[in-house]
Parts: sequence; structure tokens; C-alpha cells
Amino acid sequence: MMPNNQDPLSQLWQQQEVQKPDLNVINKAWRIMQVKQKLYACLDILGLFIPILMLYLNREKLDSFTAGYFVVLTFLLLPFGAYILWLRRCSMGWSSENTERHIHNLKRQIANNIKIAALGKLSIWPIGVLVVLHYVGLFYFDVLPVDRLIRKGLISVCVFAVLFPAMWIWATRRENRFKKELSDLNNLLGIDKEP
Amino acid sequence: MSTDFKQILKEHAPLLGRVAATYEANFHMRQELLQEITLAVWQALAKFKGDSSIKTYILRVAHNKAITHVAYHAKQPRNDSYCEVETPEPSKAKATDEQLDQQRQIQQMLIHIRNMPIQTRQVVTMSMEGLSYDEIADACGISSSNAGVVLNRARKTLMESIHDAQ
Repeated sequence: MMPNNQDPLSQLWQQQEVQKPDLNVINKAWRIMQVKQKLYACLDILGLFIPILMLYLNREKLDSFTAGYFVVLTFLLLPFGAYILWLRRCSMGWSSENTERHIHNLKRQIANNIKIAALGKLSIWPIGVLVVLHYVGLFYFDVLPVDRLIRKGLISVCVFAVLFPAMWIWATRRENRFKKELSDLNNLLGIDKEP
Repeated sequence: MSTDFKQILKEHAPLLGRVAATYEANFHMRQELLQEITLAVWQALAKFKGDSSIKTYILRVAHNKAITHVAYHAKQPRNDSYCEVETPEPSKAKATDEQLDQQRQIQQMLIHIRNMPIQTRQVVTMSMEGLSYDEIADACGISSSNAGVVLNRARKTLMESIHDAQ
């Protein structure tokens, strides 16, 4: 069946004055996007290899406990990093799927963003525990003299006293923003329930 | 940018402008959305397999991009410096009474369409772009009969609102 496109409504619709896209701006935006995508890919790869490279380059300076601790930590964090990447997998650049499917993916992506923000918030406590464990290990294996350990510990406490609340506030704001986006989208679609 | 893509985009530029107008009332936001839609369509054109008409494909990508846009921008507080005009001042001096009347009707129509639920908005505007029920149903992910019901209901209220504006 074909809707009648010569009816007054369709004619009126077609007669509206519209803005036209500036193709030069689009071309420029596309080039910037390509450069950005390449940069992000480089950062992802570097992010994965930098800790390993740092460990390798500093292997002479690091005590065996700290080196072993960071090697274990790197391997423990790999699944976490992989999970974050998996949550980010739905790229929203463009989609030619039907709208039902697109909206489903869109909602899933926002829900994943909420999860990522919540994980960022929750990861603060394990980081704190890992730092404490590191100092306990340094003390237990007698790696550093006690006075130096206390000095380093106090510096760490000061740094994390600023860093942790800031991370918490940032992650909470992001989580709330994504929750609001999901709620707004549901309102637009006339749905009350979250997926 | 490939010359073919540029040509296709040029041909469908008014259609993209109408999709942007369907979702954004604010002039500057609409311009921003139009650029986003055009970029998305251009990216998507490289993957076009010819399963549907190019117009249907473009409309589908454009609506999806517009929905993503409204999902992320809906109800966000705008910067104070942001211009809140819906459209730039039309050239009233040159317009005849008939043209002014038509502009009023179009504005009324757009206001009414922007207040519709997303699916209804998509069905009714795709219909006015000349897509068949089957094409609309395929693009929206609904059945043809459902598309017909949604369209008939929406058209009725749209006609009423335009008559009220006259």
C-alpha cells in the first residue's frame, strides 16, 4: 500500500524552507573524526603496553616485591579493562538498523555507560585496598626503612585524600547524567520502565 | 569526499533538513543536528548495499541519528548565550498573504509533529516524504498494518491542527 503523497499535507511538508548542510564543514568534520579515531586507537594500544613497558624499563630499580606486585596487578586488571571495552562496544556513529533495534541499542549503550560510571565509583575502594596491601608488603618484606615507609605512606594518604573524593564526585555525576539521559529517552518514547 | 556521495547528499539535502526540523525547534541546535545527520549519512553511504531505495536508507540513518541526538540533548539546560529563536526571521516584506499563511501552517504542522511520540513522528514524516507503508514499517521495525494505523491517526490530528491554525 502506498500513502497518497499528492495530498495537501505532503505538499505542505515538502514546501517548508529548510537549512542545507554545509558539505565543506562535513568534509572537515569527517577528517577530524578520522584523526581522532586513529589517536584513540593509539591511546588504547599505548594504555595497554605502557605499564608493561614501564615495568620492563624500571626492572633494575624496582625491588622484587613491587615488580611482582605490579605484574600480578596488571594481569588482574586486564579482564577489568576488557570488560570496560566490551561495555563500550556499541559505537553510536551511525546506524542503518530499523528504529526499534536502534532504540534498543541506544538504551543498552546508555545503560552500559551507567555501569561504567558505577564501576569507576566502586573501583575506588579496591584501589585503596591495593595501595594499603602494597605498603603492608613493603613493610613485611622489609623493602624500605620504616621512616621512609611512613613518609611515603603519608604522601600517598594526602594524594588519595584529594584524588578519591574527586573521582567519587566525578563518577557519581556521570552516573546521574546517564541515568537522566535514559529516563529522558524513556519519557520521549513514552516508556516508564528502565530496560 | 567521493563525488558520488557529495552528489547524493546534495540531492537529498532538503530531505535531511526536514528530518532535522522534525526533531529540533531551536535554530542553532537544528543546524548542529543537520551537520550530525549529514555526517552520519555520508559515513553510512559507504555501506549501502542496495537492499532498499537510497532515499529509504538515508531516511533510516537520518532518523536514527536524530533519535540519538534527542536522547543525549533532550532537556539539557542550554547556555545563556544560546539563541532561543526557533527559526531566523522570515522575509516578511517580500512574502504575500498566501505565503505567510502557508508558513504559519508549516510552523503549526512542525510544532504538532515535534509533540508526537518518536515512532508516530517517524511514520508520519516518512509518509510525507513519499515512502510506502512497507518501507515505513521496515524502517521503523513495525508491521505494515501498525504503520497504517499510526499514520491514519496521526494524519487526522495533524489535519485538525492545521485547520485550527487557518
